Amino acid sequence: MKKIFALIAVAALVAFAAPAFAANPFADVPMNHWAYDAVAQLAASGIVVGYPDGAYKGGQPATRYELAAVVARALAKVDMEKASKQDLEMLKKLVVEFKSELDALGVKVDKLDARVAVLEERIGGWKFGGNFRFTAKWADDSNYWGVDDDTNWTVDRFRWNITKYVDDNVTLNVRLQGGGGKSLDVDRAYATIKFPWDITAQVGRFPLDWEGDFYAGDFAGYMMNDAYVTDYDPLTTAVWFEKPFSMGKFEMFVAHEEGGESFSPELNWGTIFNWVHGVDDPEVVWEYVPDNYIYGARLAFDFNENFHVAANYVKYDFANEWEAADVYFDFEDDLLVHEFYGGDIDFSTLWGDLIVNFNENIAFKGQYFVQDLNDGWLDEDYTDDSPSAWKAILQVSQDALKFTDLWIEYAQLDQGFVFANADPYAWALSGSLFLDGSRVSADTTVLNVVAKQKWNDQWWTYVRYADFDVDAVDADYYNWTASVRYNYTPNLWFELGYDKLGGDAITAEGDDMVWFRTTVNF
Amino acid sequence: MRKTWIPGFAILLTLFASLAWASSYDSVLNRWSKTKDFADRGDSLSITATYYSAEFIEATVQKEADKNLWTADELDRYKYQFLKTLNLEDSIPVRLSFDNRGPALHMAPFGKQVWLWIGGKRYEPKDYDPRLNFRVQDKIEGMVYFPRFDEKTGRDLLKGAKTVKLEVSGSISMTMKAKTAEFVWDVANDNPEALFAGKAGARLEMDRLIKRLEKLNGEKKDLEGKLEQVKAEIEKIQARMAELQKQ
Repeated sequence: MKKIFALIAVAALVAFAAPAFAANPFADVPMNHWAYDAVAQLAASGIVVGYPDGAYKGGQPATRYELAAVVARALAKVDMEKASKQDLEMLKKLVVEFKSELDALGVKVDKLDARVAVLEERIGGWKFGGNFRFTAKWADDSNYWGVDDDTNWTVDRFRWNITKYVDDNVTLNVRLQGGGGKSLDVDRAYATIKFPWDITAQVGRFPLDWEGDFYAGDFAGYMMNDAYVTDYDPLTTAVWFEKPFSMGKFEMFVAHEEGGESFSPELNWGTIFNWVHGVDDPEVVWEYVPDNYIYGARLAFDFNENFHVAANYVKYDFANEWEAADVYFDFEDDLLVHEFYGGDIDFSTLWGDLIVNFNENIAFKGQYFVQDLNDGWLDEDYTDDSPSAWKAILQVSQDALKFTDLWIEYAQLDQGFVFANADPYAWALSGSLFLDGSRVSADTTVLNVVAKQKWNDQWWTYVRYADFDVDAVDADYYNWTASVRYNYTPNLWFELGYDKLGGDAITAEGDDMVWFRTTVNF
Repeated sequence: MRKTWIPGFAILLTLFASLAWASSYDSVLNRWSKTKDFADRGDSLSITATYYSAEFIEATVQKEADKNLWTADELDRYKYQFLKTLNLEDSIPVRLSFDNRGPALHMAPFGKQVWLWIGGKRYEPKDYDPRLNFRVQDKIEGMVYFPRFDEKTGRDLLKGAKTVKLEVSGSISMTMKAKTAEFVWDVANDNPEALFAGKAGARLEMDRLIKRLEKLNGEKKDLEGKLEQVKAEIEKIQARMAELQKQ
């Protein structure tokens, strides 16, 4: 019974002592500084006991030297009481924070010098990082998600990033990426070079995204809608220059892509066997895509902290005309038939960006795109040589609503608008149903609403609803997504999600999917 | 868009109705803290930059005072220590926080990865928290100090500046897809001089004067020492000349 009273007494002491300490303003270390919380936490666990004279001093401020002395006392005490690993980590951070004061006080800290040496060694050295991802999916066999035989388990990504800070003017970045049983490929490899007059250049295989502010994703960008034109990852064999100025920047790039011939589906002995023996009549498309250059330029300007505009231009310039042929076997005449077609497929996109921040938590964003398509893109179904697209977005941060982030996007796409780089709404399916190849098949409007919430450091959730209203018969569809993520540590998390498709265009049974992901960063 | 707009508008209405929650201090503090989010198909990084404007510092101090029910003297002491830490007399302080949920960040040497644009010129930090050079796999934050005065002319860089822009290099993480993080603040109405009014300001000025006095006394001592040396040299020469005249 006495034990219980003793415990109550200790609990009461802790209850009163902790707020007294918490109210203690280490004036050199503001309340919103990590060191304040760290010391308070150490105090709560009994490692830090107060000022050097042993007394809490209410609201009286302390100097950094006084606080360093507290840390020094804690260091001495830790050895005796063997604190937890978490407390030791915290102390280590505090030691680094107050290193100069501790040095001045003559406090010797084991391993501190070694830590600093490691730090110095890392400057200029090779640096490594990366991640690993395991994904399991379950869906009906007949489905829209690329899940075969109901279930698909795969280590779908392994990334290994390598960075070398060569000198003050040159940094080298390489990303090796593999997954799904494939070997590691050089995904990115580029050098960043600083020139005089604040000019920066990149050369190699590098990512380029001028529309990062205009598309939403989940917390980690797994299932994101994407840019309409850029977000090249990577832009192959390219050179990029940037010249920033006080309130804006000018950027330009030139990339070169190698063309080539291909058959779709792949032409093989099986196809030929079927042709010769008349088993079926498979049609094969032969395609020749010529080499091409991609040119891009961008001018961005901030009038002030609340008003941002940018003008962007990207042109695809092919060396020759694109050629294609439908290949099939004519059994009546015993002939292999080739029906050729093709044309000039050069095209360009000009677009403008606008961001208006109503305050620190609410922003309006808008984009307007117009394209100039050459003859190769036009036929009896696609007659518009200058299709346009636009989107308007209202974005609200979790700080404003106190319970969730909100992204509300409305977009309109003209028939014939070309997505040359990526299908921007591919997350909802393996490929958007309103696309014909890379072209919008009919006028389409998109409503995309994403609500993301960080409940605390461990639990995050998001819900998304996307509606595709396509100006064609039985072509509308929608997608619901809900996900729960648990951050077991900052470098390991689990995510469980559910996707549901619906609408006139969804005819197969497999219209829903459950997925589970594990991600580890290093 | 059929019925899908109805829940959309309902959400919007809820949203604007709930915006009234923010307290006055929080809205000031939030105004000077800006966050940029980066995502790269599985990796994410949030960078938050806080500019220590006079308005931000006053709001921080007042919030602490209200929270702890401080007297005017206690508030002045806190403000004094706070301002002293920020080195406002010769620096422009910015706090940077990184929340990394992707491959490790490598930001060393951090002093070459951030810049502050003021009036058409780009400035590197004069000092920063050395922990920002460490490999980062979760969260880290640290202070970065940019010069407040032009090295050559001594001119106050913020005088007449309408906006400042902080840039963080896209080289620190592949999650940023080689894109620079930019943070813009309008500082035309900011008045750091006002912070130095009152008791806290007087104490800081006294500190500066004490330092200056110490420095001048040191110089005086040096000069007096040199004067003594010169006097001794003169006396030595005069004595030698007298000897020579006698010969």
